[in-house]
Formats: sequence, C-alpha cells, structure tokens
Amino acid sequence: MLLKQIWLLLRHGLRLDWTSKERFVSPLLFALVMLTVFTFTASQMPAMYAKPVFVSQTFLVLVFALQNAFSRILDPEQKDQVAELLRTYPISMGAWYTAKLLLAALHGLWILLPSLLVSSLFYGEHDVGVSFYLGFLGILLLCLIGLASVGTLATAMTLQASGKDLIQPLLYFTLAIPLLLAGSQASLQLLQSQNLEDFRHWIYLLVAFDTLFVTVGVLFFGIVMSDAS
Amino acid sequence: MLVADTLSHAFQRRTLFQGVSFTVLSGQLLRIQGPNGIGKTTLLRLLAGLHTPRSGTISMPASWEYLPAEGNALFGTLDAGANLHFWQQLRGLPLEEAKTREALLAWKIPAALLDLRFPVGKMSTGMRRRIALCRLSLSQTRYWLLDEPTSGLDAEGQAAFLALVKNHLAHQGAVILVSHDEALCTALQPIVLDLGHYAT
Repeated sequence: MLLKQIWLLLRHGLRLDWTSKERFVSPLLFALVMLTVFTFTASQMPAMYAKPVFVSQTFLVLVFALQNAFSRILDPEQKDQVAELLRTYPISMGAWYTAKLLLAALHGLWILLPSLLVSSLFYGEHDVGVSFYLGFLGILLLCLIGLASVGTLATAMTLQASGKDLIQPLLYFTLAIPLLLAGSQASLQLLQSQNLEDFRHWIYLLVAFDTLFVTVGVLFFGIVMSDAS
Repeated sequence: MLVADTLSHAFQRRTLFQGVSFTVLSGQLLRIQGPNGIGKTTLLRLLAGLHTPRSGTISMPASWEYLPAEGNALFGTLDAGANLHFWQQLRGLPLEEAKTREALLAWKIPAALLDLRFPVGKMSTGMRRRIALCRLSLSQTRYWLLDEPTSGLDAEGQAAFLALVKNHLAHQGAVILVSHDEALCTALQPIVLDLGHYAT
C-alpha cells in the first residue's frame, strides 16, 4: 500500500513537471555548457589535475541540478490548497516525502547520467577506466539520495518562512556540506587507488548521512507540512 | 457517526470558541453558522484534522471528504479528468474513465474541453468549483465537510449542488456545512450549530 502511494505520488509529480519541459531542458543545457567550459580548461592540464577537476565539475553539476529541482518541488502542492487536501486524504506522509525525494533524485539523475556519459568522452584520454566510472557512479548515487533528502526537507521547512528564497539555500547548503565533503573525498581517493579499503570510512559516512536524513524526513515531513500549510 | 466533544480552540491568546459538542449521524446535515471571524472554518478544519483542538476530542468516521473554501485543490496544468483520477487513485478507488467523464458532463463541464484535455488552471472560477464538487461526488465517502461549497457557482451550479446534497443525504450520507448562502440553507433545512453561542 505504501509503495503504491509512493508510486502514485511520484508518477503524478513527474507528470506535473513534464507539463513544464523547461524544468528538464534548462539544467541539462547548463550541465552540458559547464562540461564544455571545464573541458576546455582541463584539456590544458596534466592528468593529475584534470581528474580532480572532472570530479569537482560533476559535483557542481549535481548540486545545481538538485537546487533547481528543490526550488519548485513543492510548488504544485502550494497552489489552490492542494497540500491541505492531501493532508486530509488517507495517505502516509512518509509516502509523500519519499515521492518528493525520489522526484528530486530523478531530476538529479536526469542531469548526472548524460553528464557522466559526455565527460567520459571528454576525459577519455586521461584513462580513468570503467571501474572508476562505476565506483564514481555509486558514490554519486549515495550523495544524490542524501542531497535529495536534505533538500526536500529544507524546502518543506522553509515553505512559509519570510525570505524563504534566501533561507532555503542557506539551510540546504549548510546541511549538505558534510555530504559533499565525504562524496568528493571518496571520489578523489577512488581516483587515486580504486581500493575500497582506502575510502571505506567516507562511504560509511555517506550511508549514515543518507539513513539519518531519509529517516528524519519520513518521520517529520507530515509535521513540517502541517506547520507550512 | 461524527462526534465532537467539548471542543475549544484558540489562536495564540485569543480563544475562538469553547465547549462545542455535537454529533452528526448518517442522513443528517449540520450547518455551522455565525458571523465572520467566529471560527466556522477553523472548526471545520479541526474536524478535517488540519488543526489540533486546544481541548476536547473528535471522533471521525472512516470515510470523509473535505472541500476547502479558498481553493479547489486542483492542479492547474492538468485537465479535469487527470485531476480527478489522481485524487480517486489516492483514495484507492478504481480508475473508471467513462464514469469520471460522465460525472464531469453531469456537472456541465463542456465535452469539448474534456476532449481537448483543457488545463483546469485556464478555466473559470465556477468551472473549477464544479470540478471540485465532481470530485466530492466521485469520492464514495459517507461524510462531507464543506466550506462555502457554492462560492463561484452560477444558478445552474447551485441547483446541481442542492440536488447532489439531497441525493447524498437520501443515501445515508452526512454533511457538515459552512455557508453564507441563505437560499441554499433554507432549501436544505439543516440542523444548525450557532457558533456564536460558544464564542468567548
């Protein structure tokens, strides 16, 4: 039942987002432009610098794509008292939160996967290897879940705040810093050694962060939304 | 059966009402009345679980639907059918497109707009209210909490609403109504809860 509710809410969110295709096109174009600009710079660098630049650029693109998603993720519910009616319906608030989290994560993936594909072509000459890309994708997915969970919760918490346009990114980026540091460190060490033992502690931190914020979100989203609407 | 027992509510330090008790059985229509600002909408929101009462208890039946006053809870970029299907599916009701279309046509939503999948955000206030009332009629719920349900409706829409409520009550449904539409209330002959008696 819970999974069905999550699926219904997620599918509905995608459908609403699809009515405004700019939400998909703009961040993708941004990501591709960023890639091109970075590649022009990185191509002049030796491999030892180019690889970290590649990692940084991927994280930058991911953060931007998610911030773009968060800025409007609860817009449909804010209009015409939709959020109020949703709260009266026999649905789990955890399902609502999870659907929003997944929607944000899908927006992130929509940018991330083409970016990785294109950058693998751009950076191919630096020979980072398929195993790096697979490991890097795993790290990015862990970051994606964490960032999506924090961002969705931060957006809900600041819905009714005066100056929410300022408070939401401040709250989001502050909470996201440990995740970004762990993700970038794990990725850099993966570049250097590709031995899981060398960066296992960063992976644990990412998993702990994801677990904590997803749990907090599922438990408290309903309370946050009741204050917000 | 809906039972409210000695409800009190306040906003910050201002007590709106206290000691409000009532019971609504199947087939009954309760009108909550009183002047502006007395707390009618707030009481309805307490029943809907959108606020927590300062004191007192509420026992709601398993199946009920709420219609807010200041919105219709519709997604402006989607068409009427898509909107209704979303809410029906959240209730766990089967998706019956023909039945939904039939209900929308009964509420005089033009077939051409349905065929065009016209977004509800571009429809008039009255049309959007009709779609919200159509959701109510398709909800298969026993208890309805309605806040100014006829706002924005023309005479034809009001007549359709009157018929809808009468039919609902005849089929053992129950309605808790907040409305300043005296003609409607006269026609429906509700049980009246005057919130003014509980104001402080």
